[in-house]
Order: sequence, then C-alpha cells, then structure tokens
Amino acid sequence: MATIDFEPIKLSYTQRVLKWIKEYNPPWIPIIILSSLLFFGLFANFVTGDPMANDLKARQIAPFTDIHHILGTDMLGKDMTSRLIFGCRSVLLVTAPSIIVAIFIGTAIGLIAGYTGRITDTILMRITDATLGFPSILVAMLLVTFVGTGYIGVIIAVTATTWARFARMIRGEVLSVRERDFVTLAVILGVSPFMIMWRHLFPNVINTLMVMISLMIGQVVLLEASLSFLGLGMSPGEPAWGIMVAEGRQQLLTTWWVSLLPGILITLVVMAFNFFGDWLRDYLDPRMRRSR
Amino acid sequence: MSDDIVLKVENLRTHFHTKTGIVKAVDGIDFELRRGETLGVVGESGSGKSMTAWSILGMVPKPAGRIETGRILYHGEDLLQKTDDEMRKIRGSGICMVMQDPLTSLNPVLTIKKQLTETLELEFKEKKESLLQRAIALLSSVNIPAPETRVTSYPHEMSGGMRQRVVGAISISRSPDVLIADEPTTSLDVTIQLQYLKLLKDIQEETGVGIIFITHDFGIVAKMCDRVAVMYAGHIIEQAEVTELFDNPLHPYTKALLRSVPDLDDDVEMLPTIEGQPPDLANTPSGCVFRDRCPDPSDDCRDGNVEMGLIEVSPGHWVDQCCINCG
Amino acid sequence: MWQYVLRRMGEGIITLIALSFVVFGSVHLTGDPADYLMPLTEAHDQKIYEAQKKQMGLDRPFIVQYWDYINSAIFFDFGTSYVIQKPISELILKKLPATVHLALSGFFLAIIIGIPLGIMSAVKRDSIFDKLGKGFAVFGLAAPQFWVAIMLILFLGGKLQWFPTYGRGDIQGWWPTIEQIPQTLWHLALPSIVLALSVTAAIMRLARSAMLEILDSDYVKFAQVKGLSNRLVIWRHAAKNALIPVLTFGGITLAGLLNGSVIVEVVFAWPGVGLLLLDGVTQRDFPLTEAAILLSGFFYICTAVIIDITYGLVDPRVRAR
Repeated sequence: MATIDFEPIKLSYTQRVLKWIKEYNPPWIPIIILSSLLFFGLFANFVTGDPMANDLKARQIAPFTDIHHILGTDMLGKDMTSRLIFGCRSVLLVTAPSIIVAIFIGTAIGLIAGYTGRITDTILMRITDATLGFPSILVAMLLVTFVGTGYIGVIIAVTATTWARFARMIRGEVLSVRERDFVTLAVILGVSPFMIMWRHLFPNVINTLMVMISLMIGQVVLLEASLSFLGLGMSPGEPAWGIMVAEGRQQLLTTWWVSLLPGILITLVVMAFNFFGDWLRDYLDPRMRRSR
Repeated sequence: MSDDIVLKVENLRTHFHTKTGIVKAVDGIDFELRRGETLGVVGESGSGKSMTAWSILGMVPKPAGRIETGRILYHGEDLLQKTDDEMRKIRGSGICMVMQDPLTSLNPVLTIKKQLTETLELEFKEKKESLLQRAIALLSSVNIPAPETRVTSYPHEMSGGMRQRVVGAISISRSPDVLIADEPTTSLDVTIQLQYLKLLKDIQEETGVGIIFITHDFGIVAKMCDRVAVMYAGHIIEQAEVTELFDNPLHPYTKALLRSVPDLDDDVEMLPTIEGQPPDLANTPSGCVFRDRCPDPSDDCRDGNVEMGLIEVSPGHWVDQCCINCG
Repeated sequence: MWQYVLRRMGEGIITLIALSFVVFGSVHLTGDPADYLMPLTEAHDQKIYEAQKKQMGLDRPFIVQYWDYINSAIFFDFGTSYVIQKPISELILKKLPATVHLALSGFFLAIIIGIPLGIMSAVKRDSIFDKLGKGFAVFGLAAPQFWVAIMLILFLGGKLQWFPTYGRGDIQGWWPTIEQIPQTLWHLALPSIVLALSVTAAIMRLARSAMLEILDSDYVKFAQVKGLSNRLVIWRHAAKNALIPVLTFGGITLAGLLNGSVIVEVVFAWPGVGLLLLDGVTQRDFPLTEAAILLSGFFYICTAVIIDITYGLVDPRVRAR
C-alpha cells in the first residue's frame, strides 16, 4: 500500500486569517455598515450632542450648508446628525429585545410541537402558520389597541409577528433529528431528552438560527420604522428614523431632507443585514457538509 | 465509410474554461458505432463518459464548456458544424439519451401522456386521438401493464422501474439511430435491472438502433455490449470486442479494473485495488495520463515523452500506444 | 381533488372562527370598553355608568357578547362606531372601493412585472438584464415603503408635478364616469407603484431562483434531448414548475399587500379601509378596529385557501397528500 509522506504545513495565525478571508470572501460593505450601526448605537452619547435639543434660531437648515449642522436641522432646530446617530440606538433598543424574546417563545413552542404528540403539534402549528402569514402591521395594530403605543408596545407587537418563524424552524429541526436512529438508541439507553437536544439538536439549529436572525432583523427594522411612522410606535419626537420620516412629511417641500436622510439609513441598514444574512447562509451551508 | 457506421467520433476534445484552469474533460477520443451494435463505455467517475454523450448531443454546458477540436460524423455529416436549430432537429429523432435517474428525468407536473405526445407530435403530425393511440402502443411495447389507464398518471404515481421504462419509451418513440444510455440501471433494483436490459436488447433487435451504453459495471458490459471502450481521464485507453477484452486485456488500467471484480469462486482475502488517484483534469500530466499509476512504465513514458493515441494491436483491438513500450 | 378542496375550506373556516375569537377577546377582555367610552360621554357617576353599561350590553357575560357579535357580523352588522357615530358597515362599504382598486392594481402590477422579469432574469443569467433586476430586487426589499412613497411624492409629484400627490380624484364609489377615468388612473398610478414595489421585488427574486433551479434539472435536459424547441422547454416545462414556489409565497405577497395598503393609504391620503382602520386604532374606536381587522382577516384567509387550492391544481403531488 503506497503511503503519502508529507509534512503538515504550519501557517501563522495572520496567514490563516488571510487565507480564510480569501476563500470565503466576507461582504465588507455590509460588515462596515453593521459595525457602524453597533458602534453608534452603543456610544451615541459620547459621539454626538443632544438629539432632543430644540434650537429655534437654527431651524430648517439644509444639509451641507452650515458647518455646525452638517446634515442640517429639522423644523424645530434639532440637529439631524445627532438624531440620525441616536436613531441607531433606537434600532438596537427595539430589535435586540424583540428578537431575543421571539427566539425564546419560538424555541419553546417549536420544541413542544416537535417533541410531543401529533395533536399538540397540529394545533400549535396551525396557530403558528396563521400568525406567520398574517400581515404584520394588522397584528401590530390589534395589539396596540389594547397594549398601547410606546416602546413596550412596539416590542410586543414586533415579537408577536416574529416568533412564528423561529417556532417553525425549530420544530422542523426537532422532527428531523427525532427520527434518526441514534436518537432512538439514545432513548433506549436512557439518555435524557435534554442531553439529546443539547448534543444533536443544538449544533444543527445554531447555524440556521444565525442565518434566520440576520435575515429577520431587516424585517424587524422595517416593521418598527413603519409602526413609528404610523404613530403606533415610539413616542413622537423620539430620535427614531421612522418618526423622523413622518416629521419631514409635514413640511415636505421645505424640509425634504428630514424625510430623505433617515430613509436612506433604514434602506442601507436593511440591505446590509440582507447581504450579510445571504453570505452567512452560503458560508455555513457547504462548510457544514465539509466538516462532517 | 461503410453504410453500417451510424456514428463516428474523431479526435473529440471538450474542454472547460474555469477560473482555476482548463479542465480537459474529454481529450482526444475516437470511436465508431454501427447499426444494431452496443458499444459499452466504461470508466470511473470523472473519466469523461457523460461529457462525451453531451458533446455528441451538442449540449455541452456553455459558456465554460467548449468543443475544441474533432468531428462527430452522424450519417456522414459533421454534427459540430451544425447550427443549434439543426441539432435540435436531430435530437430525439436521430440521437437520443436516457439518463440515470428516471424520477428527475420526468417533469413532475405533467402527465405521462403529455410527455409522450409532445415528443410524438414532433415526429407525426397527426390528431390528438391518434397520437394518444401511439402513446399507448409505446407503453405496452415497454411492458407497462394497463397502458390505457397508466397514460394519464403522473410520474410520482409510478414505481422506479416503470418510470425508467417510460423514459426509455419516450426516447425511442421517434426511432432514433443512436441511443445513449448514461448509467440507466444504477438507480434500479438488481431484478428490475435485468428486465430493463432485456427490454433494451429487444428494442435493439427490432429497430436496429445503435446503443452507447455508459456504465461502470462490467457485469452489464458482459451482458449487453458487443464492443467496449475503456476511458480514463478523458482518453480512451483501450477498445475491443467484449470477449477479446475480457480474455486478453492489454492496458494495465483495464487489467486492474477487471481484476477488481472478484470471481465468486475465488478465495479472496484482500480486494485488489489500483494504486494512486486519477489525475486532476485541470492539470493532466504530459504524455500518457496513466504513467503515474502504471506498474511498469518505460523510461520514455515516465518522462512524459510518449504521446497518447490508439494503435490497433490485433483486428478490432485498439490500445493506447504507450503500452506497447511498457508492458 | 374535491376532497382536497373541501379539506382546505374546512380548515379555513376553523381558522376564521379562531380569528374572530382572538380579535373579539383581545378587545373585550383587556380593558372594559366601557371605561374608555365613559369619559367621552358622561361624568363618572357610578349609577349612570352602570346604566349606560347595561344599555350597551357591556355587562353581559363574555360568551354572550361574543355570540351576539358573531350573529350580527355574519349579516354584516358590526354595530356603530364610537367615534363617528355611524353604522360601521356603512363606513366600511363606503371606503371599500378605494382600497380594492388600490390593492388590485398593486397586485396585478406586481404579478405582471415580477414573474416574467424573474423568469427572464434566470434565463439570461448574469447579463445586464439580470444585474439590473437583482439590484432592483435588493432595493425593493430593503427600502421602507412609506419612505419610497414620500420620495416619489416629493420628486414626481412635488418638484416635477407629473402625478397628483393625494387622494383619488373625483371618483365616488366603484365606477368612475367617463370623464373621470383619466384622472382616476392618474391618481391611482403612484400609490399602486409604491404598493407593488416590495411585493414585485419579492416575487422577482422567487421566480428567478426557482427558475434557475429548474433550468438545471434533469427533466429540462431531457426535454431538450427529446428535441423540443427552447420556447416549449421554457414555457411548458420550466415555467409551470416555477409557479409552484411563487404560489407558495402568494400568501406572503398578499400579506405584504395588506400591510402596504395601510401605509400607502396614509401617505397618499387615499380614502380607503386602511386609513379608516388606522384612525380607529389611534382614536380607540373599538368596534371599528374589531370590525376592520376581522374583515381583513377574513379576506386574507379566503385568499389563502384559494391559493392553496390553486396550488393543488398546478402541482399534482400536493393533491395526493
């Protein structure tokens, strides 16, 4: 039997990173955009001034005309740059909790549906499917009717429209893992369902979960912006991009930038999440097969 | 060229231009097919068997794939000179192909009837009722029971063996002169396999169609084929009549292939294997492609100086010329 | 086939009942509508409060109220709006034509543009055509509809004055008079374009990826091997299969349309049901909110069932399930 002799080549850490970058070609622009979002969201306080400060002497300044207000001011003299930057923070404040809660609820329901009997599964899945397709704004409106508007209202509304997707995914994974022979074997051997979930379910789910999160965040951002625009979301005056677009609308011809700029940011952020999510899905998918 | 030769391939080279280099899927092969003859094409995965078929049909994936040189003579006319439209007319009525998986070969949302009659329409300009009759007749000729009811069913409502027979029926419905079968039995049970092969043989006797049978199974070769061509890394390295090849293999690769099928009577402790790996088709070695794995290469051969090319060693038995030097 | 149809319809009805329960329950169980109503009418005298409550029937047990509501709802009687003091069915009926016009135009625009664009994008892969299409899809899925609407109003309506920026024009009800047709179409243009935008992007993307997969499949290759013309191969074999995933997501398309119509109506001051609903929500007009959501839900479920049934028509494998 012929043997192949070779010395394993040792690469330095930097070389390995560069090799990885060359092979997997991460999407740079989305990454930059998302990192900026994170940075500005977390450190908005330190980076820029007060987004709520009215300055009636500096009202309605167009962008790129005044050094003190690079991106202009709105109808009450609030500085656009600060408001846009603080908008990043609003995005984080709304999307993070909603997604986390949605994942929890979705996972719980998905697990129960996948693991317990046919009847529970069918009932839960019918509910999930019904919620999944139903227009999110209508659901949000219904919720707002009795929960009220404002920050908590938005989070509840967004969560209610998002959990179903996670539930469906988790249930799918549970079902496919459940049928496998090694699970039956484990059950016979007396391994607890928890262990099974941890060892077999979890690794599969993590990958899909990450892809799903990045793709869902885009939807969440859009939903929150739409709700705020309609007046069903955050309180008026808050530095949230959706609200800003609505404000600009009131005096559209004279202060058109108040609507234009936040919208551009929303589009950029959602695009970035979508691109990143697509890349992530491609990256995780064939690699999973290879490493097996 | 005698009237008997239906298809003649000369010096066919099909290369793929990819980002990582030029992949030479088919690199200079020659063979002929006569009326009523079955030519077996044997080789491991990646040896270029399927791509030869696609080259003949004019369906090499563009834009990466290109037929660089060669002639494919069908009834004396060079197919590579033909326009897309002309090729389309030849496909189905002159040359047809059966692929490995019958389930994916059939369109899941169309009935069998539709998929049969649309082919028949191209050949016979008749009314719907008469086309339907033809379709039913075809189905019964491939031994599908109760064809009148079957004809309106969908592919997923049939068993694998039946599907493959339907695909076979569709492919011969226009009485082509050449039928290329690309590993058609790989997805079938062994017993169904035998039925299917018998069916092909019957069809061949009746219609005189020439069959190019692509496979990696020597057992099928023994049953079905009149002549065999052994392919390796895009080249045909040996070609002969079936019995001659089994009795008297010349190329070390052929010998190794035949050896690797153990005889039931023998006491085998270790299955013989062929050392080494097939070459990367983007970086084929110069000269004989097999030289790195050849058990006894001559010095000239090892240095890559000997060109590839078939030489007739005895009537009808061709082998790659480097073997003459080597052993 | 019929079994499948009946089954789907049955499931639809069950979902409808569940929806009505949820809608009605969430409004009536989470805060007494009476509390919200009272400050609008009388002072907080307990006796008068109780009397009013009795008069409005809000003191009865939940199930009774629910039953009563459903009984009238089936006959399209949703009670009276708190705020506008008119029967709700009348209000809705008045606003319905506007929304239907908008939704239908948006829907047809999306389908007529989205599906062929997606299919051609796949057939002419990596061409300029494809790249433009992909760019459009990316933008359409990321840009917020309300913002695009406002931008279009600003540039096409405000600065260039090519299109009117709000309202429907003079048309009343379902059918415009002959003289009203041009201006009706003109007013309809921008809103339907905006409404169609994100939906078109989603459909295009779907049709394209479905088509790409199909073009690679064995049966397409076999169809070519049989000698069929390219046109036949694309439109008979490939496109029909591409329809399946597009229909599958037809429900999402519909949801997008319903969502979008609320926003578009707000931005363009389009006097439709969506705008009515929003006003109802912001003004705490419970009966109105209830009714509007119930109706939208009803519409959505009906269409979902129809889509499922169409799905069964196109793909025979589904019927067997």
